Amino acid sequence: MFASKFLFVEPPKSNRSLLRGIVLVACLTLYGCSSGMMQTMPVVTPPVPASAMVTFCNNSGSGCSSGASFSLASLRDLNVMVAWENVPQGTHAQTVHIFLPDGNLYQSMDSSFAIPVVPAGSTTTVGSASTTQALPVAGTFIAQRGLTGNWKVTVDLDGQAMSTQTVQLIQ
Amino acid sequence: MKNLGNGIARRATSLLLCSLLLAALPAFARERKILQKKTSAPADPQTRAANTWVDSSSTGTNHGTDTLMNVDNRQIDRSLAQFDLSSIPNAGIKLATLSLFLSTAPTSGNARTYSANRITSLWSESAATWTSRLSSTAWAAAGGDTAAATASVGTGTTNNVTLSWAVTPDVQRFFGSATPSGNYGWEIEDTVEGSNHQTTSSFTSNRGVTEANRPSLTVEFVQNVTNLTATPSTSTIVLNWTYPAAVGTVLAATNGVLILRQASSPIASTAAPVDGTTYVPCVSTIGGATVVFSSTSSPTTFNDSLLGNNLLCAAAPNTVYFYKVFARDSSATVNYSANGTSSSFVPMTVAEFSTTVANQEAASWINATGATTLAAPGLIPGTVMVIGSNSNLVTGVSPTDGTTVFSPVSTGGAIAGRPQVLDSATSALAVNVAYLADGDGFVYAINASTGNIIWMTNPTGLTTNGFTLSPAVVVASTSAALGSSYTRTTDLVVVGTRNAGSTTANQIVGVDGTTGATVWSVVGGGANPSMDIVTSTPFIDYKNGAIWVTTHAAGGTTQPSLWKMNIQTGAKLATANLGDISSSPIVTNAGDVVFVGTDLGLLVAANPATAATFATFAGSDTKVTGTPILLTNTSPYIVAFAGAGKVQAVSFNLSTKTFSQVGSGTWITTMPGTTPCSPSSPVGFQGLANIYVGCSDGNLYQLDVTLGTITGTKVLSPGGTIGDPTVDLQLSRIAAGSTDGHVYTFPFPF
Repeated sequence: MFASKFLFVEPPKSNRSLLRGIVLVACLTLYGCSSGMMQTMPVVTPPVPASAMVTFCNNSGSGCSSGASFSLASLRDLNVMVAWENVPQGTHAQTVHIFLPDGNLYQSMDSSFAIPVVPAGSTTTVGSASTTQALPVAGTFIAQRGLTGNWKVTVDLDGQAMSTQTVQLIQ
Repeated sequence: MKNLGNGIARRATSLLLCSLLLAALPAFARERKILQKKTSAPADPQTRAANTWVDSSSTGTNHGTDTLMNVDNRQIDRSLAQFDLSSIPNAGIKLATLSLFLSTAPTSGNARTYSANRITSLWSESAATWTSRLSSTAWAAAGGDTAAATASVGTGTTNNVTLSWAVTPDVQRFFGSATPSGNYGWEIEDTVEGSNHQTTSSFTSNRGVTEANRPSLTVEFVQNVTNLTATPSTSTIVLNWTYPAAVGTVLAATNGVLILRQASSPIASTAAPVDGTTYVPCVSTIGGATVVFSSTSSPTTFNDSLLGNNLLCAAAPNTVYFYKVFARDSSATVNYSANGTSSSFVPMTVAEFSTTVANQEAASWINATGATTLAAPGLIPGTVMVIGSNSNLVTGVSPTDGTTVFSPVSTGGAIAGRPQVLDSATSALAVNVAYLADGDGFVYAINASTGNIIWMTNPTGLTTNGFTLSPAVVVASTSAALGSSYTRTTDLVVVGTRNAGSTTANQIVGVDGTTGATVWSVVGGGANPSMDIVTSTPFIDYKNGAIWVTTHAAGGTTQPSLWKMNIQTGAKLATANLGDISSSPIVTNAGDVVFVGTDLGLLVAANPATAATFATFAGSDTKVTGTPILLTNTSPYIVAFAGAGKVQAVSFNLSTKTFSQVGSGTWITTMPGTTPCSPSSPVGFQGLANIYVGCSDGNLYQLDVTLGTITGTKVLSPGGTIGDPTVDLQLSRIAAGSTDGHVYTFPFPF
C-alpha cells in the first residue's frame, strides 16, 4: 500500500480491451507520423521562445552612448536596456540582477512591462518590448570606491533567467 | 501537618521541576501565523497592510477607502492586497496562502478564473489608481506592475466563499530567497481580461465590517536562531545562540540545528540545506561549505575544536572561519530555516582562534542585508541601528546583539546613503525616527522603533529624480539650543536630487520632518546657477545659519559645486566653482572654515561667509572620497580624508590661511595591497586614539590618529569591499557594511 507508487498495477479485465485500443491507436498514429500520413494536416509551428538582448549605454546630459566598456571618469548612469522578443501577451516582471566584479550582488531592479492582447484572429500571441533600467554611477560608491572590472548583468523574465551579459567599468 | 507539609513540598518541587523543564525546552519550532487585520483576539493591527482596487474605466480614481474590492474582466478592475509581515521574525518560509472573501461572485454560468500576481513596485493605498502607484508616480505598466501569475483559482458562482491562492514562492522572496524582492503584495486579476461578457466580483477589503472576512495570509515558517556569537580563544572557537520564543501556532517541535562552516570567505547565500535531507557532519558539504555540526538535542553551543569532540573536522588555528546556523523542525520532512534555496538571512558569524591573542578575532554580530551595503548604518546608541541597503530594505537591529528591532521595511528603491536617525528626545516627532531617501525618488520618515512608515514623499514631484545620498536634518531642538536662525518648530529634511540626465536642473529640497510636505526647493537654472547631480550629504551649519551642499559641476569649473543655502528659507547665499564634488562638506564647530574635497583630489578650505577659497591642498591622491573628518576643534585644524588609495591628515592654519602636511598630527598612509585598496570615508571622534576605514580588500583598518600607522586589521569579507563605518561609542563597537550583503560589527580598539 505504502509502496504502491513503485508497483505496476494491472488494470481490471473490463478495461483491458480499452487499453488495447488506446495502444493500437497510439501505434497507428506513430506509424502514420513516420510514414507521411500526417502530411495533409496543418503545419503547427512550435512557439519561438522568448528572448532578451541586453545592451548598455552611458546616460549623460547629452544622450546615451552605447558600449560594452565605460570609464568611471565619464559614466553618469549605466543604462541597462533589454530588448524583448516573442514574449507572450500579458503583464510580465523583469528583474535585472547586477553583480560586482567580486561576484557579490550589487543590486536587483524589478520592473514590469505589458505585451498587449492581440486582436482577435491574429496569428500570433507574442510580442516585443523594450525596457531601460538606470544604475547610478557618477558620485556613487561605484565611482568613489573605484569598483572597476567586469560586472555581470543577468535578466530574469517572471523569475526565469533569460540572459547574461557583462559590462566593463574602467577607471 | 507533616504529611500536608510534605505534600506542599512535593507539589512545590514538582512545580519547580516542571518550570525548569519548560524553561529548558526551546519554545520555537515550525509555526503557523495567520495575518489578518482585526481587533478581536488575537488582535493584529496590520499597520503596514494596504488594500485597494484599480479601475481602467476611471483611471485616476483611488479606491483606498472602499470596503469592497472589485475584479472585472471586461472594463478591467483589479484588486490589490498587501500584508504587514512584521510580526513574523527572521525565518525560513515553508508555506504561504493568500485568502480573500468573495462577497459577490460571478453570476450563474459565468464563473471566472482569477490569478494572484506579485506586485513588483512600491504603491500606496491612498494614492494607487489605474495609472499611478504613488502620488505623481505612474506604474510602469498601467493597471499595476506585476509578475506573471503565481497561482490561479476558479471563482465559482457562489457568494460569500473564500478563495485561496498558494503564494509560497512570493513570501519566500520577501524573506530573502535566492531572488529577493520587496513586499509589495499581490494584485488579483481575471486571467482573461478584455473578454466581451462582463463579469464583476467583489472581495471584502481590510475595511470590511466583519473582521473574519478580511483578507488573510497564512504563513508557515521556521524561525532562525538569534543572538549568534563566536568566542575565540587559544585553542577553540565556541559558538552560542538562543532559540526565539514562538510567535505563532506551533506545528512541529524544534529539532536542533545544523551548522555550516567555510574558511576564508563568507558562506554563499546559495548554500542552504534542502528540506527533507539529513547531512553528516564533516562529510557533507553544501554550496562549498562544510557541515560541521548537526544535533537534534536543541543545543545552544558548539565547540569547534578537538577539545569539543569535533574530532574529524575541527577548526585550525590562524584561519578565519565563517559559520551559519540553521534551525530545523521535527516534522517528518525536516524543515530547515533556509528560505527555499537561499540562506541570505540565516544568521552568520566569523571568528579566528590563535595562540597569539592579538590574532584572535570574532564579530560581535553580523546582520544580513540582501545586497551590497556600503552606506554607514544609522545609530541611536544603545537603542537601534538602522541599516539601509541596495536590496530596497531598511532594517532596525539592536546595536547590542544584532537582534531585530523592526523587521525589514520595503522601500521603492535602493538606499545608498546613511539613514539619519534621531531619538525621541531630539526629534520634533517625539519618536525615534529614521529619515532616508531612495533611488526611486522618495524620502521616508520611518519610526525607528516599529518600522512603520510615518510618511513618504516624492518631494520634487518628478520621476526623473532619484536619491543616492543621505538626507541632512535641521533639528529644531538643536537649532534652538545653539541659538541658530532656524525657527521652525518641526525638523527639516534636506536632500539633493540625482537626475543624471541633466547637468543643470537638479534640485535641493527642504521637507518638513513631521509631515513630509515640501517646505522649499532650489532648482538649478533660471534665476539660479545650473545645478548638476547631488550625490553627497549636505552639512547643517547652525553657527552660520546655513546648509552647505556639494554637487557635481558638469565635469568642469564653469558652474557651482559648493552651495551655501539659508537654513530657514533655502535661499542661495553663496556658491563656489570647485569642479565636481562627490564628497560631503564639513564646517568647524566655530563655524570659521568649510572643508570640502573634490573629485580631482583637492582639499579646499573655504570662507563660510562667502564660500570663497581660503586655500587649496593637493593631497597626492587622485580624488577625495566620502567625508573629511575634523580631528581637532581649534586652529590649526587637523583634517583627515581618504582618496583613491591613501588616507591622510593635513593641518590648516586659519590665521595664515595655509595648509601643511609637515609636523605633529599630519601624515599620509598608503593603504595595503600591490595596488592599494580603496578606502572608505574615515570615521573617528575627537578623543579617540584611532580612526577607522573600510577598504576594497575586504578588511577594516584601524589607523593611529596621530601617526597614521595601521595598528589593527579585522578581516570582514575577503574579496569584498567594506563600506563607510559607524562608531558606537557607548558599546565601543564599530559597524560596517560590505558588498557581500552583510553588516559586520566588531569591538574596538582592535
